[in-house]
Amino acid sequence: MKLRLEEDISQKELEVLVKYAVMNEEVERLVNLIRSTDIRIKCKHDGQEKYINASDIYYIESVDRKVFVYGETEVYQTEFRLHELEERLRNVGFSKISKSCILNIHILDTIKPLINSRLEAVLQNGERVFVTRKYLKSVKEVLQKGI
Amino acid sequence: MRRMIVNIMATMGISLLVLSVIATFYQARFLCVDAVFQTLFANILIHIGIKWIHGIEFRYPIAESILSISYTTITALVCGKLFHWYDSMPVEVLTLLAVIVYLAGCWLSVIRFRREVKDINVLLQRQREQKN
Repeated sequence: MKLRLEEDISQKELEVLVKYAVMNEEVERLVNLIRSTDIRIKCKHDGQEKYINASDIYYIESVDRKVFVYGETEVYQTEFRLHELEERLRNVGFSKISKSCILNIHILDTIKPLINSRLEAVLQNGERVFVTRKYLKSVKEVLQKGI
Repeated sequence: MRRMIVNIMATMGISLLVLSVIATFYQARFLCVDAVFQTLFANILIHIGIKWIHGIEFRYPIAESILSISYTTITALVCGKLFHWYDSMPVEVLTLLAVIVYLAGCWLSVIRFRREVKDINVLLQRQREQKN
Protein backbone atom coordinates (compact mmCIF):
# COMPACT_ATOMS: atom_id res chain seq x y z
CA MET A 1 0.00 0.00 0.00
CA LYS A 2 1.33 3.41 -1.00
CA LEU A 3 0.81 6.32 1.37
CA ARG A 4 0.93 9.80 -0.10
CA LEU A 5 0.64 12.88 2.07
CA GLU A 6 0.05 16.24 0.45
CA GLU A 7 0.29 19.59 2.18
CA ASP A 8 -2.01 22.27 0.78
CA ILE A 9 -2.52 25.48 2.76
CA SER A 10 -5.69 26.33 0.80
CA GLN A 11 -7.33 23.12 2.02
CA LYS A 12 -10.07 23.98 4.54
CA GLU A 13 -10.97 20.48 5.63
CA LEU A 14 -8.89 17.33 5.99
CA GLU A 15 -9.51 15.17 2.92
CA VAL A 16 -8.68 11.50 2.53
CA LEU A 17 -8.76 9.83 -0.86
CA VAL A 18 -8.49 6.06 -1.07
CA LYS A 19 -7.71 4.70 -4.54
CA TYR A 20 -8.38 1.04 -5.10
CA ALA A 21 -8.83 -1.42 -7.95
CA VAL A 22 -11.27 -3.73 -6.16
CA MET A 23 -13.32 -3.09 -3.04
CA ASN A 24 -12.09 -5.86 -0.77
CA GLU A 25 -11.77 -6.56 2.96
CA GLU A 26 -8.58 -4.55 3.27
CA VAL A 27 -10.11 -1.47 1.65
CA GLU A 28 -13.27 -1.78 3.72
CA ARG A 29 -11.25 -2.03 6.92
CA LEU A 30 -9.20 1.01 5.97
CA VAL A 31 -12.32 3.04 5.18
CA ASN A 32 -13.95 2.05 8.45
CA LEU A 33 -10.78 2.91 10.35
CA ILE A 34 -10.72 6.37 8.76
CA ARG A 35 -14.41 6.83 9.50
CA SER A 36 -13.84 5.84 13.12
CA THR A 37 -11.43 8.78 13.55
CA ASP A 38 -14.26 11.06 12.46
CA ILE A 39 -16.72 9.79 15.05
CA ARG A 40 -16.27 11.67 18.28
CA ILE A 41 -17.96 10.99 21.58
CA LYS A 42 -18.74 13.80 23.99
CA CYS A 43 -17.25 12.94 27.39
CA LYS A 44 -16.35 14.58 30.67
CA HIS A 45 -12.96 14.45 32.34
CA ASP A 46 -12.16 16.35 35.56
CA GLY A 47 -15.31 18.42 35.09
CA GLN A 48 -14.30 19.48 31.58
CA GLU A 49 -16.03 18.50 28.35
CA LYS A 50 -13.93 16.62 25.83
CA TYR A 51 -14.56 14.95 22.48
CA ILE A 52 -12.88 11.57 22.15
CA ASN A 53 -12.24 9.98 18.77
CA ALA A 54 -13.73 6.50 18.41
CA SER A 55 -10.33 5.17 17.34
CA ASP A 56 -8.85 6.32 20.67
CA ILE A 57 -11.44 4.41 22.69
CA TYR A 58 -10.38 1.02 24.05
CA TYR A 59 -13.68 0.02 25.62
CA ILE A 60 -16.86 1.46 27.08
CA GLU A 61 -18.36 0.13 30.28
CA SER A 62 -21.57 0.77 32.13
CA VAL A 63 -21.27 0.68 35.93
CA ASP A 64 -24.25 1.50 38.18
CA ARG A 65 -26.06 3.30 35.35
CA LYS A 66 -23.02 5.46 34.64
CA VAL A 67 -21.16 5.00 31.36
CA PHE A 68 -17.36 5.21 31.33
CA VAL A 69 -15.16 5.49 28.25
CA TYR A 70 -11.70 3.96 28.59
CA GLY A 71 -8.74 5.14 26.54
CA GLU A 72 -5.22 3.78 26.67
CA THR A 73 -4.61 5.32 30.10
CA GLU A 74 -7.49 7.72 30.74
CA VAL A 75 -11.09 7.17 31.85
CA TYR A 76 -13.88 9.53 30.85
CA GLN A 77 -17.56 9.65 31.73
CA THR A 78 -20.24 10.16 29.13
CA GLU A 79 -23.93 10.92 29.29
CA PHE A 80 -24.74 8.61 26.39
CA ARG A 81 -26.42 5.30 27.20
CA LEU A 82 -24.50 2.12 26.40
CA HIS A 83 -27.01 0.99 23.75
CA GLU A 84 -26.78 4.41 22.02
CA LEU A 85 -23.00 4.08 21.79
CA GLU A 86 -23.30 0.48 20.63
CA GLU A 87 -25.54 1.63 17.78
CA ARG A 88 -23.24 4.51 16.87
CA LEU A 89 -20.01 2.53 16.94
CA ARG A 90 -21.27 -0.72 15.41
CA ASN A 91 -19.84 -0.02 11.95
CA VAL A 92 -16.42 1.12 13.08
CA GLY A 93 -15.18 -2.06 14.74
CA PHE A 94 -16.88 -2.03 18.13
CA SER A 95 -18.63 -5.10 19.47
CA LYS A 96 -20.54 -5.85 22.64
CA ILE A 97 -18.60 -8.36 24.77
CA SER A 98 -20.88 -8.47 27.81
CA LYS A 99 -24.11 -6.93 29.01
CA SER A 100 -22.21 -3.90 30.28
CA CYS A 101 -19.22 -3.55 27.95
CA ILE A 102 -18.46 -2.60 24.32
CA LEU A 103 -14.96 -3.28 23.02
CA ASN A 104 -12.96 -1.73 20.20
CA ILE A 105 -11.92 -4.82 18.24
CA HIS A 106 -8.96 -2.94 16.70
CA ILE A 107 -7.17 -2.89 20.04
CA LEU A 108 -7.98 -6.49 20.92
CA ASP A 109 -4.78 -8.49 21.26
CA THR A 110 -6.08 -11.94 22.12
CA ILE A 111 -8.91 -13.83 23.85
CA LYS A 112 -8.13 -16.36 26.56
CA PRO A 113 -10.50 -18.96 27.97
CA LEU A 114 -10.50 -19.12 31.78
CA ILE A 115 -10.97 -22.25 33.92
CA ASN A 116 -14.47 -21.25 35.07
CA SER A 117 -15.72 -21.30 31.45
CA ARG A 118 -15.46 -17.52 31.25
CA LEU A 119 -13.36 -15.63 28.75
CA GLU A 120 -10.91 -12.81 29.04
CA ALA A 121 -9.98 -10.28 26.36
CA VAL A 122 -6.41 -9.03 26.55
CA LEU A 123 -6.06 -5.54 25.09
CA GLN A 124 -3.00 -4.02 23.44
CA ASN A 125 -2.19 -2.02 26.58
CA GLY A 126 -2.23 -5.25 28.62
CA GLU A 127 -5.58 -4.52 30.25
CA ARG A 128 -7.98 -7.44 30.64
CA VAL A 129 -11.78 -7.39 30.37
CA PHE A 130 -14.31 -10.19 30.73
CA VAL A 131 -16.11 -11.54 27.68
CA THR A 132 -19.41 -13.37 27.95
CA ARG A 133 -19.73 -16.56 25.85
CA LYS A 134 -22.99 -15.21 24.43
CA TYR A 135 -21.15 -12.36 22.63
CA LEU A 136 -18.27 -14.45 21.27
CA LYS A 137 -20.10 -14.92 17.99
CA SER A 138 -20.56 -11.18 17.43
CA VAL A 139 -16.83 -10.57 18.09
CA LYS A 140 -16.02 -13.20 15.46
CA GLU A 141 -18.49 -11.63 13.01
CA VAL A 142 -16.90 -8.17 13.39
CA LEU A 143 -13.46 -9.68 12.76
CA GLN A 144 -14.69 -11.66 9.76
CA LYS A 145 -16.31 -8.58 8.23
CA GLY A 146 -12.91 -6.93 8.54
CA ILE A 147 -14.38 -3.77 10.05
CA MET B 1 -31.58 -22.77 16.58
CA ARG B 2 -29.47 -25.22 14.55
CA ARG B 3 -26.87 -25.28 17.29
CA MET B 4 -29.55 -25.93 19.91
CA ILE B 5 -30.89 -28.92 17.94
CA VAL B 6 -27.34 -30.31 17.61
CA ASN B 7 -26.81 -29.81 21.36
CA ILE B 8 -30.12 -31.53 22.20
CA MET B 9 -29.19 -34.48 19.99
CA ALA B 10 -25.69 -34.67 21.53
CA THR B 11 -26.93 -34.69 25.14
CA MET B 12 -29.76 -37.06 24.20
CA GLY B 13 -27.16 -39.48 22.81
CA ILE B 14 -25.14 -39.20 26.02
CA SER B 15 -28.32 -39.64 28.13
CA LEU B 16 -29.27 -42.83 26.27
CA LEU B 17 -25.73 -44.17 26.53
CA VAL B 18 -25.54 -43.52 30.30
CA LEU B 19 -29.08 -44.90 30.68
CA SER B 20 -28.04 -48.08 28.83
CA VAL B 21 -24.98 -48.50 31.09
CA ILE B 22 -27.15 -48.06 34.21
CA ALA B 23 -29.81 -50.39 32.80
CA THR B 24 -27.13 -53.06 32.23
CA PHE B 25 -26.37 -52.96 35.97
CA TYR B 26 -30.04 -53.71 36.61
CA GLN B 27 -29.84 -56.70 34.18
CA ALA B 28 -32.12 -54.96 31.68
CA ARG B 29 -32.06 -56.32 28.11
CA PHE B 30 -33.52 -53.39 26.13
CA LEU B 31 -34.68 -49.75 26.25
CA CYS B 32 -38.35 -49.03 25.48
CA VAL B 33 -39.19 -46.74 22.54
CA ASP B 34 -41.22 -44.61 25.02
CA ALA B 35 -38.06 -43.99 27.04
CA VAL B 36 -36.31 -42.60 23.95
CA PHE B 37 -39.04 -39.99 23.34
CA GLN B 38 -39.33 -39.21 27.04
CA THR B 39 -35.57 -38.62 27.15
CA LEU B 40 -35.86 -36.33 24.13
CA PHE B 41 -38.63 -34.35 25.86
CA ALA B 42 -36.55 -34.01 29.06
CA ASN B 43 -33.52 -32.88 27.04
CA ILE B 44 -35.54 -30.25 25.17
CA LEU B 45 -36.84 -28.85 28.48
CA ILE B 46 -33.34 -28.80 29.96
CA HIS B 47 -31.80 -27.05 26.94
CA ILE B 48 -34.50 -24.36 26.85
CA GLY B 49 -33.93 -23.67 30.56
CA ILE B 50 -30.13 -23.70 30.25
CA LYS B 51 -30.30 -21.28 27.31
CA TRP B 52 -32.38 -18.94 29.45
CA ILE B 53 -29.93 -19.26 32.38
CA HIS B 54 -26.95 -18.54 30.10
CA GLY B 55 -28.70 -15.34 28.98
CA ILE B 56 -28.44 -14.00 32.53
CA GLU B 57 -25.07 -12.45 33.42
CA PHE B 58 -24.15 -13.57 36.90
CA ARG B 59 -21.65 -11.65 39.00
CA TYR B 60 -20.17 -14.97 40.16
CA PRO B 61 -19.71 -17.79 37.62
CA ILE B 62 -20.32 -20.39 40.34
CA ALA B 63 -23.92 -19.07 40.69
CA GLU B 64 -24.53 -19.89 37.00
CA SER B 65 -23.12 -23.41 37.43
CA ILE B 66 -25.16 -24.07 40.60
CA LEU B 67 -28.38 -22.81 38.98
CA SER B 68 -27.74 -24.83 35.77
CA ILE B 69 -26.99 -28.10 37.56
CA SER B 70 -29.95 -27.63 39.95
CA TYR B 71 -32.31 -26.90 37.07
CA THR B 72 -31.05 -29.95 35.13
CA THR B 73 -31.48 -32.26 38.12
CA ILE B 74 -34.91 -30.90 39.10
CA THR B 75 -36.17 -31.20 35.50
CA ALA B 76 -34.89 -34.80 35.31
CA LEU B 77 -36.59 -35.62 38.64
CA VAL B 78 -39.89 -34.02 37.58
CA CYS B 79 -39.78 -35.93 34.27
CA GLY B 80 -39.01 -39.07 36.28
CA LYS B 81 -42.19 -38.56 38.28
CA LEU B 82 -44.21 -37.67 35.18
CA PHE B 83 -43.05 -40.66 33.14
CA HIS B 84 -42.90 -43.17 36.06
CA TRP B 85 -39.14 -43.69 35.69
CA TYR B 86 -38.95 -44.45 39.43
CA ASP B 87 -40.73 -47.80 38.81
CA SER B 88 -37.48 -49.07 37.29
CA MET B 89 -34.84 -46.73 38.72
CA PRO B 90 -34.20 -45.26 42.20
CA VAL B 91 -34.21 -41.48 42.58
CA GLU B 92 -30.47 -41.38 43.47
CA VAL B 93 -29.59 -43.14 40.21
CA LEU B 94 -31.67 -40.67 38.20
CA THR B 95 -29.96 -37.77 40.01
CA LEU B 96 -26.56 -39.29 39.21
CA LEU B 97 -27.59 -39.72 35.56
CA ALA B 98 -28.66 -36.05 35.35
CA VAL B 99 -25.35 -34.89 36.86
CA ILE B 100 -23.29 -37.11 34.50
CA VAL B 101 -25.20 -35.83 31.45
CA TYR B 102 -24.87 -32.22 32.66
CA LEU B 103 -21.09 -32.58 33.11
CA ALA B 104 -20.71 -34.25 29.70
CA GLY B 105 -22.73 -31.40 28.14
CA CYS B 106 -20.46 -28.85 29.86
CA TRP B 107 -17.39 -30.61 28.53
CA LEU B 108 -18.77 -30.53 24.97
CA SER B 109 -19.64 -26.86 25.35
CA VAL B 110 -16.12 -26.03 26.62
CA ILE B 111 -14.61 -27.81 23.59
CA ARG B 112 -16.83 -25.83 21.24
CA PHE B 113 -16.21 -22.39 22.68
CA ARG B 114 -12.46 -23.06 22.93
CA ARG B 115 -12.56 -23.75 19.20
CA GLU B 116 -14.36 -20.42 18.64
CA VAL B 117 -11.72 -18.64 20.74
CA LYS B 118 -9.03 -20.28 18.62
CA ASP B 119 -10.75 -19.06 15.41
CA ILE B 120 -10.95 -15.51 16.80
CA ASN B 121 -7.26 -15.53 17.75
CA VAL B 122 -6.36 -16.77 14.25
CA LEU B 123 -8.36 -13.87 12.75
CA LEU B 124 -6.62 -11.40 15.08
CA GLN B 125 -3.22 -12.84 14.14
CA ARG B 126 -4.08 -12.54 10.43
CA GLN B 127 -5.09 -8.90 10.92
CA ARG B 128 -1.81 -8.16 12.69
CA GLU B 129 0.13 -9.76 9.84
CA GLN B 130 -1.77 -7.67 7.28
CA LYS B 131 -1.01 -4.48 9.22
CA ASN B 132 2.70 -5.31 9.30
